[in-house]
Amino acid sequence: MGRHAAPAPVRLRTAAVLLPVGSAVVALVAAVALIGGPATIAYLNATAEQPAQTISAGGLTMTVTKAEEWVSTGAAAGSTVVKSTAGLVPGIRGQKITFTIANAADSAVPGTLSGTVSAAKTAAWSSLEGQGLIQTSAAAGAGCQIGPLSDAGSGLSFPVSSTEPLAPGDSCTVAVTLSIPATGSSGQDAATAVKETRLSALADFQLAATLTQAPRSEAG
Amino acid sequence: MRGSTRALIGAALALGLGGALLAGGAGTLASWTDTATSEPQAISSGSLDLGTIGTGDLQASLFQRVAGAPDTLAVPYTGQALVPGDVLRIVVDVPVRITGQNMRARLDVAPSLTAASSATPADARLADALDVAVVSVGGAAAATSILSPTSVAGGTVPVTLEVTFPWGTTSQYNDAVGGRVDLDASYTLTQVPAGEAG
Repeated sequence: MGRHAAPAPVRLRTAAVLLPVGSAVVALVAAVALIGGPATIAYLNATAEQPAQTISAGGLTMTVTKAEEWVSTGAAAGSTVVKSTAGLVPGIRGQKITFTIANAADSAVPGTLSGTVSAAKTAAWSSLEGQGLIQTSAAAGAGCQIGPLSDAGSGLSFPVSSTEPLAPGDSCTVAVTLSIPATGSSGQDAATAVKETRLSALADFQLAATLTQAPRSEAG
Repeated sequence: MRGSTRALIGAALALGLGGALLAGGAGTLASWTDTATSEPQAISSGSLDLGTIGTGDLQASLFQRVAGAPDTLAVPYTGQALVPGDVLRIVVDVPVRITGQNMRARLDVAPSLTAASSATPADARLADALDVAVVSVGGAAAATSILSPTSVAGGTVPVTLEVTFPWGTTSQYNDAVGGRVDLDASYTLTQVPAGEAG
């Protein structure tokens, strides 16, 4: 009977043998990992941070203002009495429309201007134009330049641009002047000819412009 | 008496005889002798250290980079707002101290741009638009450099960073106008084996 109870010590011996073998395998794997990974070896090390530097983005802002004023067209003083204070008067009073284009002072960079001044012709305008009774001229102030006036039949337009990039805070102007001569192209009296269009709107000039960022100048 | 017992007794006798010969004969041997003590040799450990980087260690300049043309003249950066095309160059004099004959250390630079936690859409847009890069470390055009005690004899290592606001397309970055972000950089100095190439 006693000899048949022996199997238990055999299992214990098996476990006792496997335990160190397992440990050896684990140690071997760890050793291989250490040998193969020199980057994991700890060297001397130091770190530092630099002070934060705040950076902000600047913009580009354009402003356009439109001013209208009545101007004398050169009639002889005292030759005609004009009671009204506004409106075109043949041979006496015209209208000047001035657009002032500015690169805002808080813009971060210079800007290059490009745009168009235009107006659609009204029926009254076309009527006067057909009789040679409307005169239009355009001019640019310092910093701006204009192209030729284009008459497309249904409207008038001319291009506008800056002669050089507008620095922040800088501006330039373009102006359109309208007038009715005292006499028409065939010598007719304009005052009589324009009676039918009296107090009629002739045109509404507008400026559509874009200010585009220009590279910073060499002078910074 | 069994054979094994006799062997044990024999071994014990031999051991005793040998010991007596050694102990009793030592005093009878004569030989020349002398002693000396060397001067103490002080041994100190090598070290590496990054000092504190202060605002005085940063020099920033601003210029604009236009493709096909020379960079515009750089002007000192005093917080001017950046616009597309601008390049903000920051030279940081990183205080570095390295000692040890065989001490070599790699200086790694990790710049980053972060918008504030309460970032506005413009802040986030600006952070997304800007590019930041390490232009040079220690005068070499690389993002990292191996330093030695002689290469940092001056006590500082110049690191050049550039923040670039790309030109983009017309109006591409209009929604970044007014945005604000912070430029940070972390510097890590790590010892490397003396023979490691830069």
